[in-house]
Amino acid sequence: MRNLLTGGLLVALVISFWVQRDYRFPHTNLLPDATMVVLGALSLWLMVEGWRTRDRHEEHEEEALRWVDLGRAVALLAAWIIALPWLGFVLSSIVFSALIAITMRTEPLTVRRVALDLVVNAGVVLAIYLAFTQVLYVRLPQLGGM
Amino acid sequence: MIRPRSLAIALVPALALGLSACGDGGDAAADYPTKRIDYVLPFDPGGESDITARLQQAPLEEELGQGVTISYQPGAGGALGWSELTRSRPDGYTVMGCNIPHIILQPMLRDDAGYETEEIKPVYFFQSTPNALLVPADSEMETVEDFVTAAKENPGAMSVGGSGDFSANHIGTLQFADVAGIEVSYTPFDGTGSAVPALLGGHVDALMSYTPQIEQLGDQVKALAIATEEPMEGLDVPTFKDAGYDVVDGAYRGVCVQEDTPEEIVNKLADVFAAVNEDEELVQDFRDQAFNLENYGPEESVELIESRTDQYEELLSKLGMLDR
Amino acid sequence: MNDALAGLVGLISPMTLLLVLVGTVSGMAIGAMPGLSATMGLALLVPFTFAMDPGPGLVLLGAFYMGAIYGGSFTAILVNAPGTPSSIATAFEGYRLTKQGRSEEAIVAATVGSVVGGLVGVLFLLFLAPPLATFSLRFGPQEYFWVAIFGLTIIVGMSTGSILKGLIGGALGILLGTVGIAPVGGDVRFTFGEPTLQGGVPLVPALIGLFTVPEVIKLVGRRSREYDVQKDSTPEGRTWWHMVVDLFRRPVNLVRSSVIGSLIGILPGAGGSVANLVAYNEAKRTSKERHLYGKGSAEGVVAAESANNATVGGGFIPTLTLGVPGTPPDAIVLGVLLLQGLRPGADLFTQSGDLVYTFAFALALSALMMAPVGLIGGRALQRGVVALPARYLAPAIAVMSIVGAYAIRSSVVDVVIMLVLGVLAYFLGRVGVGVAPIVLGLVLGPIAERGLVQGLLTSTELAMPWTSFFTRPLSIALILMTVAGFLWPLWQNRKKGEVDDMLTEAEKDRA
Repeated sequence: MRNLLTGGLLVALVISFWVQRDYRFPHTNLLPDATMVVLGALSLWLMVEGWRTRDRHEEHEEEALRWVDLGRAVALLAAWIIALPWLGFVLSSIVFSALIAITMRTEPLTVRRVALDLVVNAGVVLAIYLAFTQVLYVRLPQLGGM
Repeated sequence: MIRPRSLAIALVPALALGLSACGDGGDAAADYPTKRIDYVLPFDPGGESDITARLQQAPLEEELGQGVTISYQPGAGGALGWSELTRSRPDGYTVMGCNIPHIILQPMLRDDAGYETEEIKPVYFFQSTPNALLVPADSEMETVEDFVTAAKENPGAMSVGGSGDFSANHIGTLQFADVAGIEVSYTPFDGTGSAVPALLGGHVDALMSYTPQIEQLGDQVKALAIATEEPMEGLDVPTFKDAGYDVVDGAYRGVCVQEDTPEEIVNKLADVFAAVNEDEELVQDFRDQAFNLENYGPEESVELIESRTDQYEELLSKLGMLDR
Repeated sequence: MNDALAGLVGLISPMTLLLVLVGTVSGMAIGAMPGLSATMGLALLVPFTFAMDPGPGLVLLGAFYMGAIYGGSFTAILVNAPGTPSSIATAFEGYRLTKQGRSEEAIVAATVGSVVGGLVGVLFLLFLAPPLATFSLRFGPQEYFWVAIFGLTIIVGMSTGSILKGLIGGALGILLGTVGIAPVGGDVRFTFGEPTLQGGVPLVPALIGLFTVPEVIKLVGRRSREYDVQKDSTPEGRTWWHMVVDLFRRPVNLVRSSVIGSLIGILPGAGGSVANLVAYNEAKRTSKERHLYGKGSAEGVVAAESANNATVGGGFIPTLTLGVPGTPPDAIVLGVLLLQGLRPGADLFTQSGDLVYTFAFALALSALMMAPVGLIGGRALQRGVVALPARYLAPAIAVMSIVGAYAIRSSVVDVVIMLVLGVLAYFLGRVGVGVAPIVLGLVLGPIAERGLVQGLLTSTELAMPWTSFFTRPLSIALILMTVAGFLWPLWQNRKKGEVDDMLTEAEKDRA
């Protein structure tokens, strides 16, 4: 079943690339076109495989994350990156790295523990920020965009 | 793709003047600069632009009385950086390297390059490297005439390598082929450096490169011609013009700022870069690198861009590369 | 010979030795940070060399470069974040060793590999520079195309599960690599109408996304490491010294990988990212413990790390003899050479011989210095990472990933690309499509396309330009290697009847 789904999504991806085909210079079509044909064919093959084995019992994945946990992890990271241009590197990183640390605690939350997580992560973020901007002259997003 | 460019170019300075006249820009512009300036290069480190910027860094800091940091924003042959520039703050603290013909040809030949030529405001063009036609040292060709004869014998068979697409090498090859009435196959390589082994290994017949390479590669190559008005000092190579082909072009390197940057700041920056160009050490280093010193202020730069734009537009529409 | 002696004397001054140490250590620090490349670090150093004489300046740059390539292995091993594209294969095996609680062994293997590789590369530079440089010129666009295709055959050997899924991963990687401006021709392709995608899918953010982000997701989601760090699987009394001796007992892998790295380093445009993958694949192909590959093999780490440090010496061969930078960082060193008034070419060795030798010896010395610095500093870092609670490790890796993805082009879009690819890699991993083939496609696709299109453009004198890909002697040799590289793993699998075993292994491996 998973193979069927994966194959289907890959075919959709290939189609989304295929409709954008628009080449103006010679030979620039060769590699992308060949790749799209090959990937499309392989994905169809995967779908056929998936269809043939659709009734086969899929063993339970012990290591797979529960959807709740996966969603939490991805949402935190995504929110962090969305906040990056608005809050700037320092603020968004302190907020979200501390949030990640706090949500990763398995024991009950106390003010003390939350404060500890906040301090540790703020320290890490500030150290990285200073090292990159002051020593290595790498530009990082500032508060208020740009 | 052809737009009423000249009108827009004429409007830009007027607009910028208007903006700086109103609002609180006055004081900020008068005190400029009060903090570190970011000198951003839209290319990978290590190229000609990088070397130039590194040479300028110390004298720039001296002239500005502020720190100057050089950073890189490579991608899409510079287009990524220039489109970012159009979205940066018009305060003069982000100064970006910009190259002719890239900033002209990319918007002209791409449906959406992410910026338009007139959206970036030139401050100063300080350096240029003219095109040079190179062949391997053991080639039978001795002059441009030999090259043209060989190309005419077998139309389209000669391959000429160069640095990248829409570069001065590229347009220079097209120009030369057009003027000489020959047909050659231009092959773009990834920068000036990676085109060289293709020539030395005999994988291309000739290379349209830049003049510093003549000295750098020494006796491994023969230079047939250089694309300057006059022969270059200390370089025993004839010009295309000497051979009767009116081909004069090369890459011009300068700096640009966001288009709404107040005129005062632009002029201040231009004065600084002009002063840096007088720095004795820098002049000597430029000479060692076979870089040509150029002095195009803000207005002269606009004129330079305008004249090149017309020239390229004419050539490219003649070659049918703008029909879309 | 006098030059060599003069070069050695030039090196043995307290000042120069200090420069080598400073260069090596700072290089390691920069290399270990994902997103800060050796090239970028070297560019930062250039202004300092202006104030120095040519000799010390070059010594500093060379030592820095050597250290940076080595430093990339730390993060690859400890948190699955290849610090540079040269450490991709290091992450394959090294991180799996870490998961087994054997990160110290991986660090030691990387150190030994890097030191030996660095030294072998310098030997090539000292003794074989002119003939090899001439040979490298015979590689034209056609040959680069075939080198890339040969590299892609690694997918077949690397597919732990079904070969079908390996090939899908490879094709997906190549397809992602076609986004943006075409490498030749300047066409804007597959940008979904978004001008910022013109720059394509940049390699470093993609590497961080594909390798590191899934691990961060798993850490955050699981609230703990998926491996037990307390359990030390290293047998009692097996110190780092034993590990080093063990590695030297099997010198074939070390030497072969170093030679592969040196040779690939000579080809301009290929560099460490290709070398570490090819050496890894060769090590796996010929290994007696093939079953360990993909599950944590110190041999694999040795192969990747010796190959990438060997490219340092190898890459300087065309730089110094032809004036053609072998790898991107070489371009910076070349720039400094030119600024100092030195002209590369065969003459450089005769006219400024002492300088060339000082430089080569400095590279060698830097490689040697990596041993103590790496064994002390690297193992200290390893202990720190192992001891850090998961709830602080995860956000720290996330901060580094974001900075790393951002720093390359100062672009938030790259950070978004990183996250999207990371989530994609997580799901693909669950259905059995590994990241290794995707990365291979991403690295090698553009090299293949460049060779293909350039080869067609330079062969316009032929009636059918494509025939040039099959008629040049060197191309034919590479084609034969490609066919062998494709068939060998299949044949090997059949012979050992491993296909079924591997399939079941793969089922267990995914997630």
